[in-house]
Amino acid sequence: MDKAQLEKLKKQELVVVRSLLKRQNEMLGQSLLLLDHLIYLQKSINLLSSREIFRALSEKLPYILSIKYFSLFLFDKSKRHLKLVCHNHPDLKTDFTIHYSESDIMRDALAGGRYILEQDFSRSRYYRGKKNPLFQCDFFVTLPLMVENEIVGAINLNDSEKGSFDVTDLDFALSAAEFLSLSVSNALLHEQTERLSVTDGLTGLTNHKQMQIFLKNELARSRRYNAPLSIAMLDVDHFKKVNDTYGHQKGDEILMELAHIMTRICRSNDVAARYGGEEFLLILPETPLPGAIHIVDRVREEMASTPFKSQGTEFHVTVSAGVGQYDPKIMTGGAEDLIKVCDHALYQAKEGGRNQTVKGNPDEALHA
Amino acid sequence: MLESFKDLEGLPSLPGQIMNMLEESSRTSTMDYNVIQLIQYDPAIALRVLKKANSPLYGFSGKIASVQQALGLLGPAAIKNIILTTPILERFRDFNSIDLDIDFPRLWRYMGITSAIAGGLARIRGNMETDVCFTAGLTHDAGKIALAVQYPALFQKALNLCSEKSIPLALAEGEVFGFTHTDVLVVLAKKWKFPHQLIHAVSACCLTRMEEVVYELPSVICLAKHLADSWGYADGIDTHTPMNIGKVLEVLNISEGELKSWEPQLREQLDAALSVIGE
Repeated sequence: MDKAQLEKLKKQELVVVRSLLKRQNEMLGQSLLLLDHLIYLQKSINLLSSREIFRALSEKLPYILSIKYFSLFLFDKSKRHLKLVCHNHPDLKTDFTIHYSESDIMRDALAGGRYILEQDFSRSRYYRGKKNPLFQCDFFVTLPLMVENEIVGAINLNDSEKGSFDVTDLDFALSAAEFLSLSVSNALLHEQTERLSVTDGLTGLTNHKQMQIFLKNELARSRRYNAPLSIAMLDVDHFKKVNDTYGHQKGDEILMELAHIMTRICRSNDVAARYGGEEFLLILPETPLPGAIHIVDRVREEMASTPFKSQGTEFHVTVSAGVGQYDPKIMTGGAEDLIKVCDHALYQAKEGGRNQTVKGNPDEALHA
Repeated sequence: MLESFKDLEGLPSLPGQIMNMLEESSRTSTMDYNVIQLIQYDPAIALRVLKKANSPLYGFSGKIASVQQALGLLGPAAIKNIILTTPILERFRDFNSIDLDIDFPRLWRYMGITSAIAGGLARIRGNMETDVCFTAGLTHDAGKIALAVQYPALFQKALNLCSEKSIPLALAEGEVFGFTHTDVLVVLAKKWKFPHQLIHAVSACCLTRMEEVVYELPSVICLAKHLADSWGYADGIDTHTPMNIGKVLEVLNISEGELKSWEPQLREQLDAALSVIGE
């Protein structure tokens, strides 16, 4: 190779090296930016409350993923439902649920456990001929949210400022989806565990331990604001006989039905709890005794009118109830005294022939 | 001096190679065939890919013996980062003060072609891991790059000695460094936790050790090197190393006639490699 050829070769290589360095610099800058976004996303959704995660996503996800719109659906495995939990579409209502077969694109993404990226909305088999006036760009992306092959949900991405969704965007969205899946899944599990620790496994009502906490808080609130507070204790009549006659499974069904009725009749601030066995307790804040009796009578009457069936036989079950209103002057022992008053009234209801509500008498109950 | 290679994070690649791979890897998200093709003919980037795949991060330390397995394990994002962070080997700048007599693009082409022929030989002969043979063929001479990059002046001295005395490069390296480019690669391969079979293959195929070649995998590499040389694709560096072809064929249980009959298929492999590497 002569000197001229060598010089030419040197110049050629210099051009390639310069161009490569420029490209590397640009790509490394982009990588650092994406890494920064990923860390920021992780910090933003490293939470134990799914509601807080969804709030953070609504606010930040479009920016992090450089897209305009997104919608996040959670998958209910048992019902095969997809529930919209988080989005930033202006016209989409929240909290709607669809069967997963109703959305071809999400169904395919979840069934295949793979992303779906279509560059042309109107030409894709999912939305052939359709056009969403909201979107300026033609692409759409659906990513399954999965943790170790377990489907958590799906996320849909639409529209971007730059007008396209390229390979780098997709790679990044897939990485972000992994973080997202894990955070959402962890939060849901945490919430489920928390819920299970305070609810009764059979009826889904507040359990005894949690009821004590609620009652203590309500008593304090009642004293603080001088607000009326009543509680009621309910017990299924002849429950042992029902169990012996129709079996324990039927007994469980009766308890679940009573819980269902109580939940339906209770107001949002009321607490329905399983006290133990076939005994239930209602905490009724801001409720004087007559109001409490009214609510309990409605529960009692509805229960009495509910038919149960076993081996072709129809039968009815009744409940008895004792109701008491908190009086801080008399009930110095707090929750213990109030429960004692209701328990005494319940005893009287049983003694009086069952299927009735008896008003508690603190003097009698506490000095008996 | 050999120990100093343990500090080497990886080998640089040629600017044109890196540029092509970056362009290809930016085009698609899924593991693109073109990117795989380019990487599997580039010894420096292939070693980086193998190093990453054998790192504890992926849980397969010491188990990934082929660049094809490694590419499958790592995924497109990691591959792109490897390409992006590969240093550039600037022939006219890195060795500006030293008149290093190496045609690097030719060396790259030779290694790519050796890998293609080694893979082809393994496939035609059968009962061999084609991808491992391919990878060993690609990387077995990468120690030469390491020597050129780390000690260019001394390496040039070894090249001169090789040329002046008409001795195998490995002998010249031994005189100058006290070790060979194969020893360098073995140090790197061990440090990067490559599988034993790959380390053994690259260490045993050093041509000066032909008498030791009793294993099939190193023999395939030796035969591939021989074919690459005889078909006009020698690396232009190591021109005086003897080849005991009879011994290699004996180990592989192949007759000369059989080898001759395989030539059209092997040439196809060669052409496929050249279509990626360039003539």
